[in-house]
Amino acid sequence: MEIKFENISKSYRRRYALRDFSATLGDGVCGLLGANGAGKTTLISILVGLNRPDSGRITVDGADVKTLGREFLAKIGYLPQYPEFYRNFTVADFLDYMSALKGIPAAEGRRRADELLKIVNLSDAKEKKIGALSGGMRQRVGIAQAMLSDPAILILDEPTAGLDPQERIRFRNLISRFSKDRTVLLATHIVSDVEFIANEVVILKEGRLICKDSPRVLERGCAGLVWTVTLPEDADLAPFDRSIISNMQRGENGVMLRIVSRAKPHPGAVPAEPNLEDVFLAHFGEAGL
Amino acid sequence: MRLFRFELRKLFLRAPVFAALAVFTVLDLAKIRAVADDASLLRTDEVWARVCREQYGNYSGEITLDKIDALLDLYKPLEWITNDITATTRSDVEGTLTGNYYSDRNLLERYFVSPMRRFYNCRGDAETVVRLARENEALYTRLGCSYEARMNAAVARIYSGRAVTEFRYTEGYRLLLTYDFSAVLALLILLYALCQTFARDRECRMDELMLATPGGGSSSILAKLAAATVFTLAVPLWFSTVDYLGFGLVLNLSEANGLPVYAEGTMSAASVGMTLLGFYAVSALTRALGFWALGMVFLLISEAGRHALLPFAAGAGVFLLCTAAGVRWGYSSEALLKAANPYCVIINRLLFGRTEFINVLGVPVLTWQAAIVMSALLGLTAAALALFLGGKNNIRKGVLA
Ligand SMILES: Nc1ncnc2c1ncn2[C@@H]1O[C@H](COP(=O)(O)OP(=O)(O)OP(=O)(O)O)[C@@H](O)[C@H]1O
Ligand SMILES: [Mg+2]
Repeated sequence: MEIKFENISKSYRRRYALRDFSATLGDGVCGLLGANGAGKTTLISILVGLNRPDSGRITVDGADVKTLGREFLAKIGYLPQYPEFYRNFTVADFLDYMSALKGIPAAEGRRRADELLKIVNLSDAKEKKIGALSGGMRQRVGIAQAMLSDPAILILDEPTAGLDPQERIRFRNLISRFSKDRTVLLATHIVSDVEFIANEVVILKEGRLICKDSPRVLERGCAGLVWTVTLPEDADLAPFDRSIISNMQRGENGVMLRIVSRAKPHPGAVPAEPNLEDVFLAHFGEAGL
Repeated sequence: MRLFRFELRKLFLRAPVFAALAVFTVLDLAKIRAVADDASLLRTDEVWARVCREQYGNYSGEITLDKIDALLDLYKPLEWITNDITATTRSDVEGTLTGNYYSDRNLLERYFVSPMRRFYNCRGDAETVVRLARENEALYTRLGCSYEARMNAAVARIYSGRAVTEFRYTEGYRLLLTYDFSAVLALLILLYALCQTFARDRECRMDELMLATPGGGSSSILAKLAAATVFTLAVPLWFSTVDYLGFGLVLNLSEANGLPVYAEGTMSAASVGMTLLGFYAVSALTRALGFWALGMVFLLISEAGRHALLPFAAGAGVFLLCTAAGVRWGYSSEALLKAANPYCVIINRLLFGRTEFINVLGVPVLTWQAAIVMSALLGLTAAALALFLGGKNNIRKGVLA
């Protein structure tokens, strides 16, 4: 499945939320990274048809989604940002309802729901009211819901919001598992969500595509920008005002700083291996580099 | 079908709705009791109740000259001695029904003589109407006024053969047919439940998730419309049933079930001739239709607001407007303004209780018939608008795709 965005623009009151966005996504996980307000949700809502772009178009395997219409909707699984669902529905009923909306026959929908609840570790909560679930559990119901129709395209808008670290890891593995023979578009501002599972990362900034590549390639692109330096406990940090401190760790022999900077930030600094977070910071930190 | 069941559950099969329904039903029954106690002496005066029961034993059933004579033999002397106030005011007089002459006279007059007179005169009055209508018809035909001629022909047709042949207790029906409190209760419940139709999905952001599924657009709106239809018909019909049972319990209704509707005084000029029970059923169905039409308008309004409060206020506003218009024109002879108003379809004795026509391309159409058609059109228009203006996915082809 190949999703192609062609010059998508969208503005709200003369401010661009998305500007001339073009990209092609193939099978596998595509991480959509961007700071708050970068336009991730806007892009996704245009993809699923909740929003109309001012210009541009989207094709799936060469066909315009507008001409695919319902056929396209049948192919997608979508988890919106901040889902709430119906508080007075039980998990089982809610999934039943979603399968009705997706046109999945009742019996098959129930079978799928059972399967998925097992996968997302919610079999015990099946008869619980959605209003009684914790945020993370609700999020997992959301994933199960998105996977009901075994969609070719899975679209998740900040699916890890509200998950604890353990759940986050479980979730990452889940997505990895779901991404087989599927296109997964996962919007987030949490780098670690996609660092190791994404085949590709798209970085959005103020509605523009900044870069798009595999995480490893992006990391290589930042080679020479990441430094570490260990300073005494009482060192003056003022000289680092112009660079981005991505991490600060106090140890026995002082403070270890990890810095993203074009120039060598300190005489004692040594180059370090960039990770995806450094890439993200390089683009978003302060004014970016 | 599954979507319909879910919409029904989401919107109406909810604890608050059932709680409101239960509370309002109790309220309705209490009000019925109060109305009956207020209006009927049979509820408050034990002696009257006993005497009436005895006397109904004598007179109820087929109206015969013997019965009328017997009643007048009893009543006439009482009328004479009470008219000139020469009768004693003692309340333990031997040989009277209630112990007091004045009381006897009032009781007989109210529950026996005047209904008997009305029933008995019905045939003659109807014959007069038919005769005059035929004369008018002939006159207008001669003058070439075809609409007026047709109208008079219709009047003659409606009134011909009218007669009340049985004497029955009709007070219960009079109260039932003029009882409107439950309509207000039904309206409040409908407003409360319907205003959430779209707002509920929006409040928990389900609208977006729904729109991104194949069945979330027009299929869901259709399911909502169907669920709302079932609900808006069921609630008024429920209250109509409660009203019937309630009045049946505190007063006697079953006695008069089989009398023609025009036997009841407030309906003497009715444009229909079915039995009282049949009429009550037709009236209840018509009322439900009126509520359905209003309900569809509420639903359309509810598409507009993110929260339920705005649609609730707007819906209440619409109903108040209808009520104001209904009070202003409902009792006038502005037939069109009556028939077009859902309020008059709900309080439909305003339509059924009079033989009035609307000129539709030269054909006289009874107001209630016109009103039913107009309500249906209003409801369908609102439903269609709700469907077309409802949330759509931008990548959908066409509206119904
Ligand atoms: N309905 C709207 N009306 C006006 N402006 C909007 C609307 N929706 C989004 N925006 C603006 O568009 C820009 C992009 O918003 P968007 O929600 O796509 O960001 P995001 O990347 O999803 O952010 P977050 O990480 O906070 O979810 C923001 O500046 C936002 O203020
Ligand atoms: Mg967002």
